[in-house]
Amino acid sequence: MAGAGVEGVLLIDLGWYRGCVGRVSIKSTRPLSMPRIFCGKGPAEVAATLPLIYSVCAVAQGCAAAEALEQALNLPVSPAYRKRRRLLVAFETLKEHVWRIELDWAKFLNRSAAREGVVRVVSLMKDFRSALFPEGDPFTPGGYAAREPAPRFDRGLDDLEQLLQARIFSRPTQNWLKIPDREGLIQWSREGRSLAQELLLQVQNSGEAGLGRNGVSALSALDAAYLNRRLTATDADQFVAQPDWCGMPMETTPYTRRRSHPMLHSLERLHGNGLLTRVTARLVELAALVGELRAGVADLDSPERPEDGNDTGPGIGIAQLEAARGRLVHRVILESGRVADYRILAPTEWNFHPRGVLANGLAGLEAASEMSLKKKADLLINAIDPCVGYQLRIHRSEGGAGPTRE
Amino acid sequence: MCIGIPMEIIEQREFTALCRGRDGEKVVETLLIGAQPEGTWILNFLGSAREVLTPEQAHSITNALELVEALARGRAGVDLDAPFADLLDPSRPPGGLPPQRSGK
Repeated sequence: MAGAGVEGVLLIDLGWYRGCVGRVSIKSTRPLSMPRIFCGKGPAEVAATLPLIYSVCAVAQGCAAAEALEQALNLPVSPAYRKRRRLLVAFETLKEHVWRIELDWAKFLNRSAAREGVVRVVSLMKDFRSALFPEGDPFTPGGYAAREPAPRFDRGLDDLEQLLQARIFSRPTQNWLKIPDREGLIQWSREGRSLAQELLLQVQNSGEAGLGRNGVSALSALDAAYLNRRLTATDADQFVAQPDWCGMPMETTPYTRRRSHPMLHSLERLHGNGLLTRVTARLVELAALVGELRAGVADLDSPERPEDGNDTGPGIGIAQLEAARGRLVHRVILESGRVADYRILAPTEWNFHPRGVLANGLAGLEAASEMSLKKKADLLINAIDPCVGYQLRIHRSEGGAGPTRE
Repeated sequence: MCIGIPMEIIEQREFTALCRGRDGEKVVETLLIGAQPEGTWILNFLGSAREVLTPEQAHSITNALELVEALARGRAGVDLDAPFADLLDPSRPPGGLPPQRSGK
C-alpha cells in the first residue's frame, strides 16, 4: 500500500493457519528521531518549520509545538488565543474524519469516492483559520494580541452543519447524537444511503461488528512530570517508538475519548471495542465537533480563566492535545534560548505498538479466504487509523500456533 | 506524525496524475484538488494529493525532509541550516512561508 520513503511505513505481517490469524508482527520504519533536526535552533525557527514537515496534521503539530515552546520560555499567552488555536485543531480533526468517511469508506463499499464534501470542508477550514487569526500564523510563540472581537463564523458553521447532514448523517447532527443505543443506530443505518449508513449496515450484516475486539485499555490523562521523566530517561528513544503506561500498551483514538457517549456505551456492551464501535465513534466525534466548534466560538469572549502553571521546570515545555488520531505530546528542552532536546510522542506509536490495540485486534481474526482476511484487516487498520502508510502481508502457515504478537 | 511529500505533476490523467518527487515517480489520486496543469506542485499523503503547493512551499518541505533522511542515515556533512534558510529570509512575513517568486 505504501513504499518506505522518508515518511516511513508500518510493516504488518500476519501468520494465517486454518482460517485463523496466529502470529502478528508490527514493525515501524517511521523517522521518530526527526525532531533532532531542531537541536540548536531557536523557538521561532522550530515553530515555523515543524508544521511544514508534519504537513498533514499541521495544525495539531503547530499548536503542540507553540504551546510547548511557550511553556519552556515561560512566555505569557492569552488564554483566549490558546482557545482559538484549540478550536482550529478541532476543525482539523473534523476535516480528517470527513476525509476517512468520504474517501476511504467509499472504497470499502466499492463506491466511487466523492471529493465535494472534503473540498468544501477544507475550504471552510481555511475561512475559519482566517477568521480566527487575521494577524497571520497562529503558531508563532507568544501569539498576537487579539485586535478584533471574537468572530462569529455562524454562516460557515451553518454550511458545515448542512454539509454533514446532507452527506453523512441524514439528519441534524445534534439530533443524530441523541440516538440512545445500538438498536437506534441500526435503525438509522437502514433509513438512508449515505456512506456512513451503508458502512454501518454492512459491518452489522456481515457479522463484523465485533471484529478486532480486545482488552487493551484506554490511555488516561498523562501527568506532565511523568511524561518528562520518561522522555528524559536513557530509554526515551524506546518509549517514543513503543510507548507504554506502567509496562502496558494503551489505546488513544477518537473511540477512547468519546466512549462515554451513550450510543458507544450501548455498542460496547455487545461488541466491546470491535469494528462497529470504532466506526461509530468516528461519527460520534464528527457530530459532536460541530456543536463544540459552535460553543467554542460563542465562548471566545467569555472571561479568561488562568492557565495552569509550568510544573516541569524552567526551560522545559510539555504540550498535550487531542489530535485527529489520538493524543499528541511534544516535549522541548531549551538551553540558552536554543533547543537542546525535542521529542514528539504520536498516537500511532501507542495504537500500532507491537503488543497494542491493533496487534491484539488482529490476533485470532478468522476468515474464509485470504482476500476476506485482507479486507477485514484493512477495515480494522483504517478504523484505528495510522498516520503513515502500511504494508499488510499474509503468510500461510503450515504449523498450528495460538495467537501471538511480536 | 503525518508527513506529506511534495511532488510535481508531470502528466495529469482523469482522476490521477503521474508525479515526480524525491523518491521517484508515482501515480497520485487528484480527486481532492481536481485536475491541475503540468508543473504544479502537490502534497502527496498516502497516494492522494492533499493540496496544491507553491514551488517555495515544496522547496521548504523537501529541504526539511532531505535533512531528516540524511540524519536518519547518519550521513556526514549534513547542513543543519538548509531547511531553515528560507524561513530565516528577512522578507518572510511573521510566521508565514517564504514569499512567492515568479512562476507557479
